[in-house]
Amino acid sequence: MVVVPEGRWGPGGLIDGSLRAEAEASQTTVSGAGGHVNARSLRGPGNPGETLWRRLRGRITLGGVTPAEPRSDDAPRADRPSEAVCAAVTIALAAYLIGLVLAVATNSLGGSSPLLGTIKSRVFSPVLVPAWLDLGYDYRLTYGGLEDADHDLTIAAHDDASAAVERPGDRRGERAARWRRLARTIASGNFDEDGSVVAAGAARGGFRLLQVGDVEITVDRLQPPERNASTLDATRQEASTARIRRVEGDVQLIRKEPPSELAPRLRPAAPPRSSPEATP
Amino acid sequence: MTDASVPRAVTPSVGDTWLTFWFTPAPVQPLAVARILTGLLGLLLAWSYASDLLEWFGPDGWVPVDVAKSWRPRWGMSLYDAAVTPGQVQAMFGGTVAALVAVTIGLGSRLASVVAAVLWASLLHRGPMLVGPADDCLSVLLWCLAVGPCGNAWSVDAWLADRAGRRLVDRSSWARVSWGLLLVHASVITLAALLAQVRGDVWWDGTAAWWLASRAGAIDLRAWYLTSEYLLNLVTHAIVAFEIAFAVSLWFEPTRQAVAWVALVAWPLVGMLAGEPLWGAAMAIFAVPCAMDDISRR
Repeated sequence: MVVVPEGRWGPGGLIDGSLRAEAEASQTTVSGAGGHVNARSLRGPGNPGETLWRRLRGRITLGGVTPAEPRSDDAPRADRPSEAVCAAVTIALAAYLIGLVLAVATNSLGGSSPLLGTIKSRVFSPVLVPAWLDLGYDYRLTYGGLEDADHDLTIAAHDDASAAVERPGDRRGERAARWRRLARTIASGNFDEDGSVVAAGAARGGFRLLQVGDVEITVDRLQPPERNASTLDATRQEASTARIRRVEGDVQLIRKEPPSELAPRLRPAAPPRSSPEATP
Repeated sequence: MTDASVPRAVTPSVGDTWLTFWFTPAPVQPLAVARILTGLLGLLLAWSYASDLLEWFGPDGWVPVDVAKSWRPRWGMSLYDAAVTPGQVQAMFGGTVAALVAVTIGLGSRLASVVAAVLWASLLHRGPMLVGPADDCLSVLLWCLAVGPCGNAWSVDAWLADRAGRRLVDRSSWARVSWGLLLVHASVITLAALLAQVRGDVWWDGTAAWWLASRAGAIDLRAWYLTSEYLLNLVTHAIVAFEIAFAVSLWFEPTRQAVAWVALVAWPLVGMLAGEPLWGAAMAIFAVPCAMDDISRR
């Protein structure tokens, strides 16, 4: 059985030419009812490969043998874009794939080299950044550390702790997850050195909610227990606290160090006990 | 194209492989399924913004425009910056939701995908500290879909064309480009996540699943893990093993469809175990066109 070879139906390719070549190779003869058959002239709307085949069937035989049905991967080839389009898309794809690799390489947890960072920022960032495609995809899920614990935040009026709002509160799912990310950002300072900018921005929401101009924003970390702990309940730790107030239109932030990050209190050394022997 | 008089080489060249991979016309149905699922995922993610939208982005919200601008990298921009009143913020968000609905039902599909991708990127740039893995993946999915004729099947576009007596192509090279981009991203995202994970000790000592289970939103299997440390280790290593298998097997035709089918179940499961169920769903959507690979071969 003779199978019409893949690649002979491309735009501009001569069907009879390819069949003749095939026939010569297999020492058969080609007879075509229409003589010279041009693939381009046979392309039609819909599924061009099948259309082409339907029109060819019965018109061309190889040594008296009707060619077999084309393989499924032969047919689509007829619909390939022109060489110019393929070339243009190839360049675009290659450029994007390089940008993708650079985005991953320069957004990783391990940092990035100045060389790759410069190439990416000068060539690819103008396209990738606005489209939200400059991503590292470094979804570690967890390292079991403090930064991977759940965080929540509380904003209270500075002089009235009873007036407070908690986030995420009773929210669930992705909605709650967004508040936890905000809280984690304030605690870990992913965007600025210590999260102050984020905290100051978030406090403005607190001013409006609490109708005050002086608030205290606290981020708590819910540290899960180790597997060998006696309980499954998370331990609540204060990760970040700051007082934020509005004074004559300006927002001031006064960061308080969480107790866990303060140096241990030093007890004054006890006075040397006088030994009985030393007593005169 | 191939010169008929020149005998073809037995081994395909790099150029042939590239052309075959990216430009062999592919059916549009897998892309249509990915489009519908992407639209639904987008609506779910948009829903998570909706209730707190003004609390975050409204006047005197928790994420003021000036602060968001100061965090953005160079070239970062957001159409939401122009929305300063509650009505403007809601109108902009309404436009984003409308674009996602259009993607879901396949109305002006390609244009809707581009508009949805632009508006979604704008929303993420408006509050980058609120963004999670599922948001990133949705952005990538929308851009990938915009490349191909994702609305040529199971869509309002197809229905309208049918009523008008027009026939939309059901195989296209652009569908193949879109399919290829989805495959590349599925593999790259998985590899990048895997590389980030294996930097942590917990993924080597087999305890990562414990810490995942203790996160809010995750399936809490700690009671089971307490009964057997081996089970804890097994779940941890299974996640890593699946990610390796997924990232690699997608590139080989004999294994592609099988691993994609496994991924349709495994990714949502990993997402639920990790407390990121929508990220798991997004990764499963990347696998959908590969799971329907037999349609491509037909």
